Amino acid sequence: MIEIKNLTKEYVQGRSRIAALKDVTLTLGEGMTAIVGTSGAGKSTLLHVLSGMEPFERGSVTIDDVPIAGLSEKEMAAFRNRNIGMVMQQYSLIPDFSVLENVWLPLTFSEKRCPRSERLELAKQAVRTVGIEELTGRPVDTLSGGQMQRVAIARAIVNSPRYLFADEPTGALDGENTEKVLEVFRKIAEGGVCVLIVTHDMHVAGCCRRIVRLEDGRLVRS
Amino acid sequence: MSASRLFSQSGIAFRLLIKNLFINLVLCLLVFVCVLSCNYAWYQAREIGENYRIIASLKHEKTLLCMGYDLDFSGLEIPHSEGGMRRAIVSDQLRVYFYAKALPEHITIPLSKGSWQSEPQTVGETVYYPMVVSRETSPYKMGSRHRIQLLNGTTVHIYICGVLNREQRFVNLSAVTNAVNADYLVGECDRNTVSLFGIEELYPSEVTHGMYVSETGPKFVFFDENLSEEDYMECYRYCRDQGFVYTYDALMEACREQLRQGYTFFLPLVLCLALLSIVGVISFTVLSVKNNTVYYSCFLLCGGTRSDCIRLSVFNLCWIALFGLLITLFVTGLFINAGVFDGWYQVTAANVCISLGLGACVPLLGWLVTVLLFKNKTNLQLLKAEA
Repeated sequence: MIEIKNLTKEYVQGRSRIAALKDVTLTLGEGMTAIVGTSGAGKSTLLHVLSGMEPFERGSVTIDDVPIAGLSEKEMAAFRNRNIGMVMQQYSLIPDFSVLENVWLPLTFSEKRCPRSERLELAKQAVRTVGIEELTGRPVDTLSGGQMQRVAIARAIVNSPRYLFADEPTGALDGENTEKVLEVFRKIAEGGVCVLIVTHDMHVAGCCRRIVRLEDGRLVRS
Repeated sequence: MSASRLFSQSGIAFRLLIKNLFINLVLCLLVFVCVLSCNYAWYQAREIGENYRIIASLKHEKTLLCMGYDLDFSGLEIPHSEGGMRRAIVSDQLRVYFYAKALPEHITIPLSKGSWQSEPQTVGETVYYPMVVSRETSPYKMGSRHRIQLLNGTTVHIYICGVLNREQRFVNLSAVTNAVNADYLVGECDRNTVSLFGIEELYPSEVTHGMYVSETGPKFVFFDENLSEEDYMECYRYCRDQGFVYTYDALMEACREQLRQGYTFFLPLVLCLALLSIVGVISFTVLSVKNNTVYYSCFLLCGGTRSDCIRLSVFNLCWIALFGLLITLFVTGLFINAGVFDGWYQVTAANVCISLGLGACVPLLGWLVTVLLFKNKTNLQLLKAEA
């Protein structure tokens, strides 16, 4: 469970400070949750703060009873590797690496010691989950946008995280591929994973169990 | 950090090497040029310094020419050409010179041990000819006896009757007809090899003094501090009669001219090349690290730390440095075998240190560039840069 209390995040721009998140209090649990709002509402910032990629000024964020503000960079990275999978709009894949090599990447940074054969099986399992097992050996730069996003999702779930954060995962996809990606998210959420999707597409939000709306950095509806 | 994790990360670094193949190949070649030019510049600078030291030590104005000559066994047909200089090389570590009968009798090359002998010793049925060595190195010790196989198969038995004074300087001259070239002008008496000095008349050579003047081959210049004015003039007349009319001043000028050529043209050229290649290595290292930035953001997303990214960057550049050094090793090996380097590029401790030092600089530089890159960027900025 993710517990957010009075979260405030500010950016410094020149001499002024701009609040991207203002006093946000929220609890997130299993299933799919959509975070919606207009551009600049603080949706992506919230996701980055929750994933520990961005520090915050005030409030607290507790993930599975672990206050992430107290973690060092190394601890946060290990925590992210174990518990959080991330999917970005632009996929963030290594173009020349094959599908399997990209999916394998989080296992390289994992603290868990398991034999290569086991890690290979984990990577293949993740690829199977997103339904692209026939593309395993292909370099990702030869894939379509929808396929690449599914590779990114496979990479995000390879360590069996409890949380999956997706930042505009369907923003660059057409309708057909959006459906495929949403289907994958549904499947993952059914497995007890907390899937948090930042989107401004109300169709995507409509597929989620819960919708959280942010406006100008404030939580206006949950 | 577990070994398997390190191994996996070095594997990723290797993949990154292939990913930016063009830049990394150029970087490898620049490392090669840099290592080679720095080694050569070091060699040149050391040689020039050493030669100046030798010239400075040849301060006696009565230094003479042609006190002996390189072995030119026309009769035995074994002259060996080495960089334009004719020498008789018996083995890798042994060269034979002959002390000419025509030397002015009153000039003797000072020895640190033993004395010059002219009579051979007979032990049983074997005749051992007297030899002086330039330095005592196993097995060529004072008083020892040896059987030497010349390149043409001729066998000579020798005994060591003396050791040259190590402070003694000989200068090699290359002579073409009556003209003295500046090539191989200066050098201590065969620093790297043991040289044997015998008495010419004891060997079946048909070389005459008139012949060797017209031969291409190094001649000895012998410097004797105790030489009297009268002896000097006599020697000078002798040298002049033999076709060598060069005085000490002319010899020194020729030495300096050769050195000047070294440091006014060649050394600056090599230093420029070294400098350019160093600038190139720095630029391409920065480029390589910057090109990898997009991957670092992926690693951060996947649970990697900044330290992991820096380590990957260093691993990546370690691979490049390794390939650069391997190329250097391979090419220099080829060049040495082909005789292109003509002996200047030897595998010495200094060469190895320079090469490894420069090789180590590449990953160090990569580490520095990555640290500086990360210092000014948050994780999110790295992610956004990638997007």
